[in-house]
Amino acid sequence: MSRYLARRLLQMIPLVFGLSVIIFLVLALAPGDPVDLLIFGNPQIRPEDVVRLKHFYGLDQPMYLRYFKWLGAAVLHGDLGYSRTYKTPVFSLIGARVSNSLWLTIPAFFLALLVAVPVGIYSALHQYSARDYAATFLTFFGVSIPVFWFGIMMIYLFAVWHPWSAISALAWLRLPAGGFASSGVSEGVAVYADRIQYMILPVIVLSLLFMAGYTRFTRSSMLEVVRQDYVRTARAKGLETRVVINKHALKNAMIPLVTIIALSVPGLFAGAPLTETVFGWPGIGQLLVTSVQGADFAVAQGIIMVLAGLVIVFNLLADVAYALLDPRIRYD
Amino acid sequence: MPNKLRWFALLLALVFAIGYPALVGAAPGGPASGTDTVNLFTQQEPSCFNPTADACQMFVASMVRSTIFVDAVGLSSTWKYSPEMVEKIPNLKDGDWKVLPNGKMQVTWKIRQGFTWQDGAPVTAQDWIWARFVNLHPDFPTAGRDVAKRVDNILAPDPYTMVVQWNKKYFGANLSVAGSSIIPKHATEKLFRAAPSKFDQAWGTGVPTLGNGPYILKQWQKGASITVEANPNWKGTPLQPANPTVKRINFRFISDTNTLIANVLSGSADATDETAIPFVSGLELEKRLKSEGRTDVVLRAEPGLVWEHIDLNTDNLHLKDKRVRQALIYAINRDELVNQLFEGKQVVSHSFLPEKHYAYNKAVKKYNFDPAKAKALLAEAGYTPGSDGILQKGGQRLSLVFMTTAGNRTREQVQQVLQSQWKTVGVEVKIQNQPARAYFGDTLPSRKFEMAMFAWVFSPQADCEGLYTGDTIPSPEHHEGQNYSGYKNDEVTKICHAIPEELDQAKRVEMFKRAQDLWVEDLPVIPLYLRSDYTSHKAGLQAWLPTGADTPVTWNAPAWKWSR
Repeated sequence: MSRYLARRLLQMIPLVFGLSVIIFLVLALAPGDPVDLLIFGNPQIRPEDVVRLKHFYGLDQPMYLRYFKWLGAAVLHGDLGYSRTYKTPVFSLIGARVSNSLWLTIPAFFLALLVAVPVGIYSALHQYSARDYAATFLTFFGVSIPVFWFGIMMIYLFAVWHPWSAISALAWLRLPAGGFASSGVSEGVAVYADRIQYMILPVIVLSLLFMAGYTRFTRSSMLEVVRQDYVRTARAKGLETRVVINKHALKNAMIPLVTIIALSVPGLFAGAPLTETVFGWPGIGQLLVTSVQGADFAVAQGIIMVLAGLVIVFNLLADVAYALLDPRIRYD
Repeated sequence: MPNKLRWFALLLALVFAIGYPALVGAAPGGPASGTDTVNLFTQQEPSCFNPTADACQMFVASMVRSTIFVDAVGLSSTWKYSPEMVEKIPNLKDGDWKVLPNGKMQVTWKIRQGFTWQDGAPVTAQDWIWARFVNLHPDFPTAGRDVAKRVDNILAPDPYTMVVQWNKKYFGANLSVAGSSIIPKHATEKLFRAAPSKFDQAWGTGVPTLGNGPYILKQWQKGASITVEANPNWKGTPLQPANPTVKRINFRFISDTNTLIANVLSGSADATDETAIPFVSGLELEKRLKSEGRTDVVLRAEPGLVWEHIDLNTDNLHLKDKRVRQALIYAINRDELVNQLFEGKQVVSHSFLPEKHYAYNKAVKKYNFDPAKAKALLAEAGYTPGSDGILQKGGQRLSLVFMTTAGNRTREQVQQVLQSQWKTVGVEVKIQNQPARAYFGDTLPSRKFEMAMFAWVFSPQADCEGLYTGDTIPSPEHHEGQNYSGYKNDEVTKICHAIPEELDQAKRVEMFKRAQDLWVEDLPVIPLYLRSDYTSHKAGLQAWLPTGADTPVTWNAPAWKWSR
């Protein structure tokens, strides 16, 4: 295992390097730079101002030079550059936005698991029943329904229409129409209490996406396991169904799910661009979209590199976790 | 149906039966957070508040900045200039604006006394002098130095007097001190001198950002909101009175249009700015509010200075002939276009200047819809119909590629209407759109287009230098210059270069008129319409006056108040 680990770690170096080249090239080769975009808000800008600004931002330098400058700063100093839009170091900007995204993705992730695993197990054990079909329908609904539509519908239902508010006992059930925080709330516990009301709708919408996939995986994994000989043997020995499922079947059924979960973790850090945009949540996904649109190269490069790095690391962790969970798996 | 399900269905029906009226009920008409607060929603977040740094030039940045900083001169919604931090606006008649025998100028400003920065330090001449120094520093990324470079020096014989020495004539010398706005010297000098190239990162990017205006920057939750609160020491100016009733403005950023509109409908948004609701969405929202009988929210479309037009590449084989260009405009019915698509709320334009501009030429030639004339012009230019009805000349079909920004529903609709109208006169038009970054970043500056539709954002003092001067045509190697159509008319070039240096407004108006006459005759660009910007506000919010110019709606924020 240690040789395997060492080999994988060494392989990561050229992989990350190659990724950095691709990420840099994709953004640098895209037409238009921030100074070009500036011209259209200011038709009176002079040609000499354009030249000066391009020189200031190094946009007139050859691409390979810009790449090595960026790489050098990132590797030697951990400096991912400055955001031209926000005028802050990219690293601290990403850090703040990632933590905003985690406020959504982690609760959505756990909510999804909380619902998906029991529903998946139930569906598998009652295959082709009415409830299995209902669960399947909801799963496909979750996977098929576009987030940008479902999100805005939830906003309209809970913030604009709220048809139940005629019943005074339910009048309190009204949620904000997107956003991140109420103005003026900046200190102490009040910040968290305030944040929760803004989180409810985006977490529900986001969890639906996770839920759909996890339910299907749990169901199919469970179906495969309950048909195994050892499960049939356990039943034949007279054990209770609860014991057969929880003690014998579940652990084995969870192996593929654990792998999927481990591979989903980088996605938690990547945020949810569509959900964040619809709900006005200032997360990392939304930042990536706005930085690409606004030609803020340093930010876009920084985000993609960090996320790519996380994917590589968590892929390795998933493989290791797989080996630890399943004694049949051996690496050398 | 099983019992449980039956009861649930009954309950649901009951909830909706009772709650149905609430589906179309009005949102609360009063303020979302109290009569001392306005929640103003917008689509983008400002980057920073440095008045001249390139990254801080977004419209939303100027919207927030105008509550925190006040410059020498302000602009109202009736496009009248007002002395704000100064006692009067200098003019040639009163002698505080002098033209010297050598062609240079001297403009004297008297600063209003008693105004302070928000830390109590007095606002003096040194703050404008310092702002100019920062603006011109070679290591500072300023957006534009066009005006600042026309100034040789600013002298301060006393703390409240500025004598600005201009190196040549410039008509706008009494509209800003030296084109560099104002920065607190006492609070920023050390920071700037330590690292001039990093100054835009070090100051104006968060709380505190020291201003001299009616509001103080109190809170900035990055990505979410900015809160400004009334400055208790604000003395008041003609446009921005003292003791504002609205003590707090919360600027909230929601990038998705639908979510933003939901905030308007739910009552969370007290107002939205000019950039929040795109025109087509505003039109739909207006109709919806009318059909629902809602009077608690007011939507208004303010015709402005955003000029939608089609640049014609005058180097193109077909478009280099003036008759073809004129035929193209005769063939399209712009009046019907604005009526059908915009209900007449975006007005047809006939020149490169909007009607509200002081130098707009009312008598300029109008190209009314006349397809017969279009056909006659094309025939005169030597085009004959091919077998498929498309005109051709010398074996070349009259086929043009029409470009604009992809994903813009309004522009796509306009393209389709125009395409079909051009087809009726035998011009084949192929639509090919691009993402904004590629379009603005490469296609236009490299002039890799035939017909390109986009908008210029003008100011009330805009001129034609740079846009229609023959020496500012960009090339594929050098993107500088904005004369994308490649228009070359020596007389127009001469006039457009001379206008900024003509001090007599009446003479300037004549020069502009001549330039417009020539331009409209040559028609390097098809003027389409002037865009209107929608703003919304609750009916109870008074003194909400969008300007339709590059001055944001917060120009008179201290005058806002909630009616009882």
